[in-house]
Amino acid sequence: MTLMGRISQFFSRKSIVTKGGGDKAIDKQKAVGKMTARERIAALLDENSFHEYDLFVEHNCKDFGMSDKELAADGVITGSGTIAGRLVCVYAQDFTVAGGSLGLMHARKITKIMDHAVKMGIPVVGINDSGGARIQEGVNSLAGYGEIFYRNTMASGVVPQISVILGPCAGGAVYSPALTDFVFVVNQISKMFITGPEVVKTVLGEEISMEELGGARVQVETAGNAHFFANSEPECFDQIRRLISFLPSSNRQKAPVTDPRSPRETYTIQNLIPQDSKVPFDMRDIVRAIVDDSDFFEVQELFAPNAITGFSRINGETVGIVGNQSLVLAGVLDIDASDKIARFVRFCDAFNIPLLTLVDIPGYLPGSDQEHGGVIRHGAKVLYAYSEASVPKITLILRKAYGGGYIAMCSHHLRADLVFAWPTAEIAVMGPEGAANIIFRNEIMAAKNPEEMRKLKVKEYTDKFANPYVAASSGYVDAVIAPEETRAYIGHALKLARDKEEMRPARKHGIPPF
Amino acid sequence: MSEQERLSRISLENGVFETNLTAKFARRKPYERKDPRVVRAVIPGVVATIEAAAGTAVKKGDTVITLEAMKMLNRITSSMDGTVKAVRVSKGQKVSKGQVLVEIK
Repeated sequence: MTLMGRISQFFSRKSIVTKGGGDKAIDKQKAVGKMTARERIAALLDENSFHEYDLFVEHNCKDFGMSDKELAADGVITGSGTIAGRLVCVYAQDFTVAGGSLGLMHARKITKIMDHAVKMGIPVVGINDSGGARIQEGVNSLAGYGEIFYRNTMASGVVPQISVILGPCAGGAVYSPALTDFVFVVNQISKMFITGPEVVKTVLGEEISMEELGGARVQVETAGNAHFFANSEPECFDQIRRLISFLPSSNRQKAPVTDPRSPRETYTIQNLIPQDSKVPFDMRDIVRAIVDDSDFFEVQELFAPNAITGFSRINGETVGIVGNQSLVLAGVLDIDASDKIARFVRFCDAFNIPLLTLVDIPGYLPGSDQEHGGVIRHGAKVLYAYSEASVPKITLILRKAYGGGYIAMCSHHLRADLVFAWPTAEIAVMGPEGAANIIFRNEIMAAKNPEEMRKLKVKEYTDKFANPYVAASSGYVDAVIAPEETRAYIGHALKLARDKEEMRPARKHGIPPF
Repeated sequence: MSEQERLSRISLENGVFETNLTAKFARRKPYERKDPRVVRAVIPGVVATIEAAAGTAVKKGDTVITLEAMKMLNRITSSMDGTVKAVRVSKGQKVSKGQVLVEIK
């Protein structure tokens, strides 16, 4: 063959394979409102930045008449490219090719790009759209999944791992996303479950739709398996690009630094705190009043909204923010909020992102559902994650910091580097009413008018203990600061702790209360 | 009764199996679709104020009751646009989690 012939043969071979499952399958994909795998990669990455590998990989299945079946790129597109100029590794399952089913070579393409990512120290973004295991490949397909799960685990805490669910992701396939750091879902498009509605019906006699069982909304609101919810695929890709902007490429680096910016003037702290400490306020407004450009990128916004987690920048540097949200469930810690906070703290610690904790916590949520659901072991995750974290840890107590909640929310005792408190802080072993009832029980019972005496004692306790000064007198609060000094104190504290070093005892690994 | 006879049956994706069930499994409740017309207490507490009496028009997200719990005046909001059909609690009443507070139509 001539040189020109070989080159034109290459282009024709390439054009066949890049068509994926062909026009009919592509039309079907579009008819259900989904983008194709190639369109998705193009939309996610910087223009023309995608470099594809393993385009000509073929499956090697011989059973069930598979030997003469060609599956373009074996149903998954892999490669690398850039997001806002920064390198990422990407794979996207192609539903138009045998339903995006996962066979051994398909899995090998994925694990190969993951190995690249870990070696080069760059994030991995995996776009999932697959009917599941390629049944014809039998146990080889299971081997494929297993290899991916192993890599997800080995890459955990080394490079950021992002999963995007843009179609079905069912059965064993869900565990790769579950092992990654952030899961993105899109309304009406994403479906995730271990067993589908039909099996649920046979086993439990329960009638439930696919959307109600494992749709996008359920995953972000109820199950907490997903972290980001979008109404369309383009919106989802914007969210991913924004997330990447806050993160370092690997645990060997720090997050990229931008130009410092002041918070927008529309958020002034003084206007945000209610006079009555029983009136809830939106902690996110406080965040916006403190951080650069009032820009707060929330993680798991819709799951356990009684706690907030997310990324911002202070003086140009990424900060992971955790806070109690009195607008929802009074801002208590419960099973879901504990899980959310602990996981976020561990991510920040793994990737050198300092932590800012904003405290307004009345305590833990009472109730049999919480106790029986294991709030003790879930709540312990927060203590574990904060204690374990060796990144800079700065804490600001705005209002309530009572009992176990005070300890858990990155107190000095869990080795916060600096703890600040506003004059409005109430740091005590428990709330005044509960405390007065216990401490002054005899006096209250013996009084002529017990109710009046109770009120008197509550006030006495409040005046004496519901403030930041008792904790400050023991050095548990490093500085009581005026609200308008907040950004200056936190900014300085982050600078101070930037090159912090903290030793840990030698061990294989700890045993967090999973 | 032999051990064998006491076993229950459970059907999974890959067949029916004889086994013992856990108490937790036996107590499980089937999925219930949330009814937006019923506003329930999300947290145990005491009714502090009733913000929307029967007959009041409400929008989704409007506060219908404030519930004092965990040292906080929690806003309990309507999950739909409509009119308050009935308020099922009174001011100062102790309520448990999940208790019906207000019905919307």
